[in-house]
Amino acid sequence: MNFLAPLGLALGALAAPLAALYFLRIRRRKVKVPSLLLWHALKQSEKLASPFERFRRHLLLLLQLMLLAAITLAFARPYLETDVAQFRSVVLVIDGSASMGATDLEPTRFEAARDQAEDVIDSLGVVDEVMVVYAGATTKVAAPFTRDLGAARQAVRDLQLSEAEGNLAEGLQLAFSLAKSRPDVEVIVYSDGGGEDLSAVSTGGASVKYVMTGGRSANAGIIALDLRRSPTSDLQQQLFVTVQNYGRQSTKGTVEVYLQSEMLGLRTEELPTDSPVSMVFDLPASAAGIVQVKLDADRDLLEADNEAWALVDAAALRKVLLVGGDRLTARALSADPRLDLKRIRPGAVTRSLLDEQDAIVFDGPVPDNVDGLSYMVLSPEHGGPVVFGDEVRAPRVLGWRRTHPVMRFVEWEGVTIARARKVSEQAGLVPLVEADTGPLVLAGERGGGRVVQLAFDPLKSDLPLRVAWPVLILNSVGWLTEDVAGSATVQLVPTGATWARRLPVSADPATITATGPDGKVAVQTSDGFARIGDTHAVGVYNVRLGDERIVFAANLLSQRESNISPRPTLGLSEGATNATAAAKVAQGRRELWRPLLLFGLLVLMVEWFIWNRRKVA
Amino acid sequence: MLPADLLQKLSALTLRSRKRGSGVRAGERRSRRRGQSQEFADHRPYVPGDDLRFLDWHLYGRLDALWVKLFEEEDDRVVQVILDCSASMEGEKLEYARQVGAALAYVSLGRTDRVAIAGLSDALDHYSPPRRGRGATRAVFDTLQQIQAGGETQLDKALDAYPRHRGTGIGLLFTDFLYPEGPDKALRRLMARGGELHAFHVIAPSELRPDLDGDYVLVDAETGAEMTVSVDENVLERYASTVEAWAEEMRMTCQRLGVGYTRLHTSQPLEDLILRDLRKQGVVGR
Repeated sequence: MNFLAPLGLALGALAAPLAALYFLRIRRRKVKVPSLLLWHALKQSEKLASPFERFRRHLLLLLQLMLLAAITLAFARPYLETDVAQFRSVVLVIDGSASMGATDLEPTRFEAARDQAEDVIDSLGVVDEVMVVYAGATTKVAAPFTRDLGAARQAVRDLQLSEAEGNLAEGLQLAFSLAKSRPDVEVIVYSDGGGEDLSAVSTGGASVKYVMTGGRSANAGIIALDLRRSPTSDLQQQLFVTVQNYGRQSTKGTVEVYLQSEMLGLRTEELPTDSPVSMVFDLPASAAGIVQVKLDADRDLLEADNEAWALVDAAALRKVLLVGGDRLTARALSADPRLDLKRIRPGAVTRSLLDEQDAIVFDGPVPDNVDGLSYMVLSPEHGGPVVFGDEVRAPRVLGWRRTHPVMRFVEWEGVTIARARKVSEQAGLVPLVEADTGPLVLAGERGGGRVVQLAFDPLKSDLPLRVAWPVLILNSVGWLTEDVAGSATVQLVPTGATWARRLPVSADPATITATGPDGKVAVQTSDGFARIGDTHAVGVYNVRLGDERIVFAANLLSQRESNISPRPTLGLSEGATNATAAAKVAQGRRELWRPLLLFGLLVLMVEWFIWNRRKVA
Repeated sequence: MLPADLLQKLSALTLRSRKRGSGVRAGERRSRRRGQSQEFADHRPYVPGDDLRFLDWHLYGRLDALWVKLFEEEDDRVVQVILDCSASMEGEKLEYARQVGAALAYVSLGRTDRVAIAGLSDALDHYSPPRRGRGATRAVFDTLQQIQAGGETQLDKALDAYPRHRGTGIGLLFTDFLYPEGPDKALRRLMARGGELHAFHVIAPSELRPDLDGDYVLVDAETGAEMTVSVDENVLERYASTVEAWAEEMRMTCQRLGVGYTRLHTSQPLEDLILRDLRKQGVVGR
């Protein structure tokens, strides 16, 4: 036991005057007795009795000295180093990010943190106040500064772990700024470190204690998921899954892929400790529905990152109109089963017919007013938005934009072109193929539609005889119809992020309901949008907008959260007291002045009672 | 001084002597000198148990009432009722002693003993010479009533002034035994006067367990000496043990000196004491 104010012990010197006063104060009543003979005899025998027995007669003095001792000790403010702390104002910051769901602490890091926070609240006195800040994907003040410890305890109990990437920096910043309103405030952070850079967070002078929650790092998780068209075949889709092992030992991991609950693929790989492992799963072009990816690793402490979801819409049939054109072009287009090809003569073109198409390939004159349509013009002679100038002979290809979807796998090297037209005005299009005389192929968006324009007549080149021709045609049509195709239309959000969707004008906000992996979730509607903020669980969410049904999925996919290895320090730049262990940080000074004063009060009551009893007697 | 019904009951009693000595009246007490003098002395009413030989049949014939004849002997007995009237006896103790003394004096007067009364402290404060017969009852009682407490206990000194009586007798000493120098000397001197001595140790309940709790200055009623004490339950218990041990010591002292000893608790009803306890002890009898 130590003392915060040892000078207070000087008060003990009052014992001497107290004893003196006691004996001086005794007003002995004179009582006449027949004889002192027997009292003398008694006194003689008393001398043989123990000194303590003699002192018992001065019980009141003894009690008064005890009272003085209690007050003296209380003034010296003794304290014990205990495992529960005592503060004046405490801010409890509880990390609710996905990594706090790790099970290296029983039952989870989050629940262990909650229990410890409750212990701190239990240890507080009636004059102490506490605030609870939750730092998950969203930051919130679960309980503002309050002396109602029961309410604070309930607020801690009500906190829920989220399977989302956390934002500890924001939580700390909020806690520190609110803590500024109190002097001597203590901020206790229950977290595994969060993996964020916290050096920019200013503590604002608050005393910070970091309770490192968790100890092990054994975890493997899915950190990336992507659904793309196959680079080799536009007809196929591929699912890219990246998993990483963050443990200290390599482990075996099995990835299973399900489409609408039917297994599509399964792969078991050795997961090294230092690098991620990517796996690719082919999906049939016709695949549609919910894709679920599961990871099963040998040593794994976190559940939330072992599952990811994707949604695949059925590839829609794209309507393509070929105006004019030769058989070669027509055959190239008909090679794609996803295209609904219609071929007409240039004279049969009507506006209504054009409006029905997803893309038009003009190998004939382009009619006026084609704004808003997506089309390809196969010759400068057919017109189109680009303004051409003089004819040039034997242009030489200098280069092309290989990264543009239209140019994918199209080889221009060695292509011979007899004649082309110079481009005088590009009309907002971007050259994809450049020759020494100017652009040969241009593409771009225009008036809400997409346009691909050739500056030469293919029939005056050897391009149609090359493999590049059908590839160019199909690439172009694919690009022009990209919005329609949406082959990998994935409605995905990171967990914790808000999902939003513009509501149709006719939609009645009252009819909108949504269910998530854990049951019903709240939908907010405002400004013509439906929003779902409660996306804290990994999984599939179903939204009903009247008759329409929308599905989206929330995935964790966070390297920061999958790397559950707790940080030994928070890394705050200033004024932070980093605790390396929970036990150490929870230590505090438990002042004893209150129980001492209570004891003093009890002694006072006993003294009063005895004094009164004697007086009555 | 004593209730009439008690007096009635006392009439049948005789003060008993522990040893057969002289100074007894015929028909009342066994004596070495029984029947030597048959001189009529007095009458007293018959009470059941009286020897029928001493009934005065003439009186019965005339008054139709039973009276017993009392005869005077030459060597009669003096019953000395000696009250310690030092200041320590003040209050209930003296009052009780006075009543027991009066009762025994009454018993003695009924048997033609001569009864002397003395009140002793450090001097002979009160004295009534030996009187005989029922007629002396009032005088004896008055003397007893006049005795007031005061002064120190110096029985030894007081005895110097106390006159010797002719013949043998019984001394009835009523005292609290609170003698600074101890009771031995005084008892021996009383014994030396011939006859037998019976000590009545008067103890008040407030002496056995004083009504004290707290801090006091105790003042000696006799000497005025003071003593500071702090009293609690524990002290009271030890004080009671001390008193008990001391009373027992007094009893042993009396026994050693051949003095009769009876402890009187002032809380005990007088009738109980005389008619039951003293009869049991053989101090009085029929």
